Amino acid sequence: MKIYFTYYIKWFSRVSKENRISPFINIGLLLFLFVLVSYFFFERIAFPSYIYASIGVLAVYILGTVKRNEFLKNLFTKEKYRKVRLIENALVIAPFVAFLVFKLHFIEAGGVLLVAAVFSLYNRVHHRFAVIPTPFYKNPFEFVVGFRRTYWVFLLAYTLAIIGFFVENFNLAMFALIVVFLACQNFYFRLEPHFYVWIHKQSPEVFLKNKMKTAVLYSFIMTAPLIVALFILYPFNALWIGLLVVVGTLYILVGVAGKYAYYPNELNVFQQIIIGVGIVFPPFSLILLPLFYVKSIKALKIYLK
Amino acid sequence: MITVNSLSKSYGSQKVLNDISLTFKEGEVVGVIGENGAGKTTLFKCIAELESFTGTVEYSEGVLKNTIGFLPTSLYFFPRMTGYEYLQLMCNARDIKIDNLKEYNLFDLPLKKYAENYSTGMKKKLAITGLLLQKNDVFILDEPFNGVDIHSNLIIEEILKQLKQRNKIVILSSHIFSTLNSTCDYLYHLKEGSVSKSVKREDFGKVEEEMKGEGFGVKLDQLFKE
Repeated sequence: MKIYFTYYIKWFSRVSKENRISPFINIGLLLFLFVLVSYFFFERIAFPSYIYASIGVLAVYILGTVKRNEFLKNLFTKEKYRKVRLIENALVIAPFVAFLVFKLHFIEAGGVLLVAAVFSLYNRVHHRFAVIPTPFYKNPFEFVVGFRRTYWVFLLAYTLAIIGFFVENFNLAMFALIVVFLACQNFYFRLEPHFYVWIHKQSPEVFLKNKMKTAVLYSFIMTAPLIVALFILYPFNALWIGLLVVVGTLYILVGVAGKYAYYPNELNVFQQIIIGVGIVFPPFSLILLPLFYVKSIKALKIYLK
Repeated sequence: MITVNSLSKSYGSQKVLNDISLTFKEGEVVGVIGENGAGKTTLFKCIAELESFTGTVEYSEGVLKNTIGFLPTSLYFFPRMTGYEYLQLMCNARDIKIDNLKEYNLFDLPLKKYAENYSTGMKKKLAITGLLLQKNDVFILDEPFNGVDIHSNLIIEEILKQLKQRNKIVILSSHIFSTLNSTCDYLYHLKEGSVSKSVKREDFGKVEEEMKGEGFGVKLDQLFKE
């Protein structure tokens, strides 16, 4: 049991070192971030203690996945397995309980502790998701996978836009449109194994152009209802709406070109910041696009003929 | 025809493949055998240009990479992608347009479900279906029989026979000797990164005996020694 928990410390240490951060600094940063997010959560959200407690319970619930627990049962005797599950749940819930106590929500803290203890007995969580239909099946994979992973972002953005339309807040609706564009761009930040690039018979140029065409077309499908609604409801702001559509499309193109610019390596923090600068200051994206395009073609030549 | 000339591959100071020269002809099914770690998968990856190497791999019919159907030992499927979408991706990669993919579902797979949730055997069958849909001329199959049920084993054997009849080049590896016996024309025995032997079908038995004898008995005795 001791070795099992020591392994987690070793794993955290290795992951930190791989990211060139000292494990001690990393744990400090994570704790700081947790406190910061928790603090803002209690400042900005209605009924924060209940929602906060629910998030803690969800984090513990996830530990009850079937595969993981089958592995633990194989590893430990029945008694030790129960102990491990109890300790794991206690460790995960501890920061939530501590913050709830700090905020003087003692009942919620006690409730969360109790639920975490009960959940240590539950190990039937399945990670089988229902298949969400998408209109993107003709050109997998970024939009197909990305949409299914982050459909809730689109639900949220569209809800925001509808609220914006109802309260006649043009900026809120425009913000929702930017969120949709950025969510689509985000689909291209996840790299595929090089086998899935290698299988293509197209030249690097054709491969990249096809990816760009698909990305623009599918992001248009995702944004079209919002764009149409904006043009109908705010015709006098047509220029701004049109400009945002152009900028959003530019984000998408930068996302696709940026994805393969350093392939098979992922974008490092500095490169991600550069893309971030392009998002905040769109003219900079006009410089990034050809730069990333040329680099991508060069990187893809290793895998495509 | 594929001609491999003096192919060598190293990872740092460790030499994995050493001066390998082989030929693979159309209409032949060739098996590559060897112990775990002998270099079979690395050889396949080099031929497919998935790995860099020294030496040459020449193909008489054009760009080899664009006509190879490669079945890796360990398969990766994108999370939350259905079997149907996987097959579509494989077709798109080769500019192949098929209107009704369901008609090509020769293993009766649940194509509307996520491929990541398939069993090991089902994943292999899906990958093989994808390679067949691509209409490749060369097939490199690393352990195609691993993890599939008996019925599917028979289907795969039949597929290999069909590919041979259609004049395709098929290179495969397997640890199940009976499947090699019934499908391969030649066997290359890979040992410590070099081809130690190449044999015709009539001599397959000798290679099998040789592989069984490679220190196995002694090691087993040591394991059970009290």
